[in-house]
Amino acid sequence: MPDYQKYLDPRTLNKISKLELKARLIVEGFVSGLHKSPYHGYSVEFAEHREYVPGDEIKHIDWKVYGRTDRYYIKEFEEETNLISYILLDVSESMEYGSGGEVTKLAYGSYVAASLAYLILRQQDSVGLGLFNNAIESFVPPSSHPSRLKHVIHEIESARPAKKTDIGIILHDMAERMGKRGLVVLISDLFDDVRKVLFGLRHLRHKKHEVILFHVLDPFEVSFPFQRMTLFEGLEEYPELLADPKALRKAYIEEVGSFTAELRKGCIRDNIDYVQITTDTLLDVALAEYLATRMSGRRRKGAAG
Amino acid sequence: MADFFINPAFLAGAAAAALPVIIHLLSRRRYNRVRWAAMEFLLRAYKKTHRRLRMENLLVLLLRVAAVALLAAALARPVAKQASALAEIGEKNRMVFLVVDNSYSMNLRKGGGSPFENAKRMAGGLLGTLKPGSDSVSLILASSMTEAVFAEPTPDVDRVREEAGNMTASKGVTDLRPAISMILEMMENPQVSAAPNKSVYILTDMQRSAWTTRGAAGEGEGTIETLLGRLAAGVDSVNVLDAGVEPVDNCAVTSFEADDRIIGVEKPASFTVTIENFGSARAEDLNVEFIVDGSPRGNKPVSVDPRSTASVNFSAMFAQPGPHGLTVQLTSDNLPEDNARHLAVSVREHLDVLLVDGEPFEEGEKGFFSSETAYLKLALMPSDEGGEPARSGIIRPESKSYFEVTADTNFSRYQVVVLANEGRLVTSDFEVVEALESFVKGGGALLIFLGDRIKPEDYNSRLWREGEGILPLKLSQITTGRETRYSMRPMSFAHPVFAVFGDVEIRKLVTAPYTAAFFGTSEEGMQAGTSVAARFDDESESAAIAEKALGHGRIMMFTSTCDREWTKLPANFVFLPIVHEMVYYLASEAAAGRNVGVGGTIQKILTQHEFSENVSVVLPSGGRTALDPPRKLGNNRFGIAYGPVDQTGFYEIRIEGAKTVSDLFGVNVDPQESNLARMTEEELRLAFPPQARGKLAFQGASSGQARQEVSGGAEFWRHLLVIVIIFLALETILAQRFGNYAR
Repeated sequence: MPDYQKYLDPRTLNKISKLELKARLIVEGFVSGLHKSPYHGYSVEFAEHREYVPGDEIKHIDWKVYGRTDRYYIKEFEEETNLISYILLDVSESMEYGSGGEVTKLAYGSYVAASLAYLILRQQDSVGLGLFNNAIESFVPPSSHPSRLKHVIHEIESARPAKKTDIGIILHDMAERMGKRGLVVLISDLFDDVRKVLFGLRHLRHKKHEVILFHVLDPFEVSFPFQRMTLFEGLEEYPELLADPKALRKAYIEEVGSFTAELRKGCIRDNIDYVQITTDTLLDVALAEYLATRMSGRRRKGAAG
Repeated sequence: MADFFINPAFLAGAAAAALPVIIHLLSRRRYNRVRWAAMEFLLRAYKKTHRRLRMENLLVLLLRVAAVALLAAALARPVAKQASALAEIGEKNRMVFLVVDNSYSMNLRKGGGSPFENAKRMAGGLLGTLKPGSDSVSLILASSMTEAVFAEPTPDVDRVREEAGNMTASKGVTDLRPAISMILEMMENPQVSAAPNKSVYILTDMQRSAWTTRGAAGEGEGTIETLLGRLAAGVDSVNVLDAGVEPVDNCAVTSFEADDRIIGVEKPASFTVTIENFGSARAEDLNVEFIVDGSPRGNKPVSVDPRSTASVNFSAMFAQPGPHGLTVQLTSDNLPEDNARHLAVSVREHLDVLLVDGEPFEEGEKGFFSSETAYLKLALMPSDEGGEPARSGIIRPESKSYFEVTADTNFSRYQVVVLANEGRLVTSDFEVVEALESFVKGGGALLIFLGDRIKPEDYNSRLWREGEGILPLKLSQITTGRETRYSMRPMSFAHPVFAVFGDVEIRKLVTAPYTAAFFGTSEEGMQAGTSVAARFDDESESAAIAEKALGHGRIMMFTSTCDREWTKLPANFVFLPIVHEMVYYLASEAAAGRNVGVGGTIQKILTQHEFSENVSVVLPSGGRTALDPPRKLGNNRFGIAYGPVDQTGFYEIRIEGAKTVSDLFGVNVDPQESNLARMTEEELRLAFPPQARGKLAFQGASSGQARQEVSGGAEFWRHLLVIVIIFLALETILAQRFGNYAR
């Protein structure tokens, strides 16, 4: 059995060209690292038998029980329905940044998106994909059919980063577009107006969607380690700025800090899972977070039902 | 404010002040390009900080620029002039008259240095502030041995500085007057007087004697005060820089003299040494060493109370006639120059006296006393064996009749020639008169007694010659008392001739009425160098004894007779000491000039048969210098002069001819310099005439710092360096605080 866990490192993964293979490697690496398969049987878990009443589907009759007891029993399963997951990936220009020419935020986001899609489909859940910048660039409706992975991955691979982000509008749009309630995974650097972002997220929550927010940042964007005089060429139509990074560092880090703090605060308030990841983080963090939310979501629902 | 830079070339380094600016600008040109996503935050951070950043950057940049500029300024070693300096900013060329006191008190040793070394250092500092080529400087060493190293101000400052480094203190005594006169003389040069920005710097140990008028009373022009006034009027500032050290006690040998004017071979001679304590503490158990011809002859301890003197006596006997050198050496102290004194003495085997008898055979007198000179001869060479042995053996009188003496007579064989009532020879033989005059001028002594053979008109025309001749006073008529006899009254009993009569009873014998007749004299037109030592008590108080200095010799005249014809004095026993003292006095005068002060001239008179062109002088230091051949002074006389002498000790003049003649001369420092009392600043101010006080700038030596930074200017590069360091430290702290270096 190959050592799949090394593929959790985005830098290793960057050397592999096919996204589908990447997604598979990530998930296999992730799964092989777990003590116990977390998804084993929960979508087809047997709950109880009950007597057949007219109106029940005949196909659900347990014929083995009938053979022993001569009575009709219906086999009941818990939550046998598919979970619908929507993966929203930011493909705006700002996602193109990758410090030191390594993994860009978009590439990292793509890995996360593809591996999640692979993982979701493997669990027989439905997955849909939305790529956006200031509008929804492409949308793949959710489906649990294994062929959906190819769709999703094709869309992600063909995405070209461009334009400015406008997450607020996208989130409102998506909230309206997604009929059945499900899990929304938002992968973005969220370089937008915090209040608009939070407002959109709240809309999703209002529609009873579970939301995981993967806030992807480049490590340089967090620590701002530049030393020499630098000309910063703004992406997304921002102007250039020639500045001494040393002098700006403190103020910059403060700005970023207050931005993420505000985001985090808003997310906690709206019961949204906020995960800040940098592009040098191992990919299992994202997957584990998904699974944790997926399970807690079940618990929440179970408690409610 | 800096008035001068010692290394102005370093000022070019100030251009380096532009470096931080250039680095700043360059650093803005060389930058990395980064495509940046989180621009929003960056812009916000920039907006928030750029105003503050700009201020901070500007401040740090200013500190860097200032630090570099000040460093360059410090390396250029700026100098600020004291006091009035600020007024002179911008004036380019200075003319400096540098006067360095080089009297021997500047050699005072205290601690590690001496005032002279201080002065040299100060002079070096001052010269260091001058710009070669544009500034000019004159350097004068001031003392009684004033030496103009560079009298005319020269722009060749480097050469002056080199010479200033080689200055040495002299053995002279402090005297600023010749130096000031020299500067005043230079200022008569229109080029010098027209030059702007002239200043005088006097580097001295502030010895009081330098600033107080000495020996110049009545010389209005020459007092230090008037000279300082004239000096201050001609220059912009007179700076007195104190190079001295705080007063230290000093003891000195202030005099060393022979008690007897004539010292004979194998006769005991005694000497008196005076030690003076100029300090404020009693000097205990000083040792005085007596050295004769280079060999120690004894020691005597002496203690001297503060500000007083003590005397020590030594005695010696000389086996050989001729010149001898005696030295007394006092225990060494901080000022060694005045702890020794030297005395050159001439020891005589005989004192030859020629008695020229004008009346060898007196009518009416019998036997021995018939001759005019009989009493004299008897007095000078008493046959009595109870006579004083110390002197009686020395004098060797020889009596000659007037007709035995001619112009060819070798007068120089005698120390003293006596003319006794001699009226014929000197009035008939001009050549004899000339020979006598030459004899006196060459250092001989002449003693004249008058009498009835003298025709006053002849004496006046031949010997007095309107005061030019060998007769001290013009003769008039014979004064005769007939009934009464006149007393002789010495003008002062301190006169060498009368000094032996210390006792009042014996003085009465001197002043007793002995004389019945004498020649009246006229004191009109009495020349300088002529004086009256005793007078008769007649109505007009006529001169009894008159004396006159002529050339190197001396003449004494008694206006009465040396036999009993006109006076009973020769018959009295006081005649003997009087005549003896006269002879000693006159003979010792001939030896005057044997001991001179530093700066004086030593002279030797030669006779024809001593003459040689091969003359040299052996210096106290041992060196030997050939001298010019002796100059002819007159008949049969030649002179050798060497001076001014600048060393202390014995100079020996050697004349190497058929027979080698040598003579010894003692040279001593002036004991006045031994008083190290210093002027205060206030006293210094008062030494200047009131109108000149405004130009006086005094720089004391109270702080060692001041002495180093003298120079008519204080260097302050150290301060600049401290500021540079503070700026750099501030820059580092600020840069850290501003986060420019924060990681």
